[in-house]
Amino acid sequence: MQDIATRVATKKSELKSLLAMMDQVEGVEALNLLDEFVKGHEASLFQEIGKLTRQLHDSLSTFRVDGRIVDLAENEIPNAKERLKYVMATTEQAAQKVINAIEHCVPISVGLHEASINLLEKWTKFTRREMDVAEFRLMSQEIEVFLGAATDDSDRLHRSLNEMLMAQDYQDLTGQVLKQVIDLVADVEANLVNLIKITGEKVAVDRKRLMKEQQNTGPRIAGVNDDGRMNGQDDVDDLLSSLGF
Amino acid sequence: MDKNIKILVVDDFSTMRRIIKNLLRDLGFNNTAEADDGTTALPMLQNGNYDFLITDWNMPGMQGIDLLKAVRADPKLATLPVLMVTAESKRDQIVEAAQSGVNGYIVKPFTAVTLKEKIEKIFERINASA
Repeated sequence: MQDIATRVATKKSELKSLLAMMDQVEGVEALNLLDEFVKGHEASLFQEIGKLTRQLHDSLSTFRVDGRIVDLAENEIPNAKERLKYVMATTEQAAQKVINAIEHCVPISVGLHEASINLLEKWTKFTRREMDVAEFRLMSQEIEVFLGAATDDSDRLHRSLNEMLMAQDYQDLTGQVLKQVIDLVADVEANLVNLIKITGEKVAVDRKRLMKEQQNTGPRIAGVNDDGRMNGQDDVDDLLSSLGF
Repeated sequence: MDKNIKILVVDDFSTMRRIIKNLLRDLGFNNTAEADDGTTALPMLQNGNYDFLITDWNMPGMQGIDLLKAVRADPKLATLPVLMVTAESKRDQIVEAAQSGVNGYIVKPFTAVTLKEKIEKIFERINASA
C-alpha cells in the first residue's frame, strides 16, 4: 500500500496526462476521457475497500473459529451443566440412602431401649427379693428372648452404620466433578477477560447493582454473599429480640 | 404441649422434609404431613385442621413468605403457629417475616436442639397469651 505522498504524486501525474489528452480531442470525446478516468479511480477505491473488508472478515472469522470459545459454548458449558446436575442427583441419593438407614435403625434402638428398661425393672425387683417363682420363670424367658434379639439387633445396627459410611462416597465423586466445573469456570473467566481486552473497553463493575440483580438467595457462603446477612442462629435471635419479637 | 398436634412440613427438597419429620418424631410428634411447595401446602392447610406449620422460604411455586402472608390473611388460618426453617439469613427477610407474623425463624444449617427450643418457645408464648 503506497504512502499518501506517493499516491498524491501518482494521481497528479495521471491528471496531467488526462488534461493533455483532453486537449488533443474534441467535445464529447473529452468528456468520455474524463468519465473513464473517474471510473478507473472509483474502481481502485472499491478495490481498496474490498481488501480492507476481506481483512476484517478474516480477522473476525479467525477469532470466532479459534477453537476455545466455540468449544466452550458447544461442549464444555453444556457438559458443565450436566456435571452439576450429576452432583445434585448424587448428593440427593446419598442423603436418601442415609435417611433410609436411619429410619431403619431408630425403631431398633428404641426397641432395645424399652426392652432393657423393662427387664431392668424386673431384675431390680428380683434382686430385692420381691419376685415370686412364676414371675422369675417369666423373666428368665424374657431375658433369653431379649439376649437373642439384642444379638441380632446389634448386628443389624452395625450393618446399617456401615451402609451409612459407604453412602459418604458421594463426597469424593462430587468433589472431583465440582473441581472440573471450577476449572471450567476459571477458563470461561479468562476467555471473557480476553474478549474484554480485545474490544479495548474497560468495564467498570458496579458490584452493588450486580449483587441486587443476581439471585442472592440460598445459604450464606462466607466471602461470597455476606452482604446484609446474619451470621448464624444467635445473630438471628438477637435481631428478632431487638425488634421486639 | 400436646404431642399429637397435626404438623405440616413444607420444603421443596424431600431430604429436608425427611430430616425435619425425623427430628419431630424424636421429639414425640408423630402426626406430621408434608408438602413440596406453598401452592400445594395452602389447600392442605385450608382443608386439613393443622395445628402447626413449618415452612422453608425458597420454593419455586409459592415462596414461604407468601404462604405465611396467605395464612395470616385467611380468617380460618390467621392464628396458625408458623415456624420458618430456611437458608435465607438476610436482615431484610428476617424483618419481613417477623412483620408478616411468623412465630419463629430458624436458619439452615440448624441443630435438633434449636428446632426443639424454637417449637417449645412458640407454644410457651401461645399458652401464656391464651
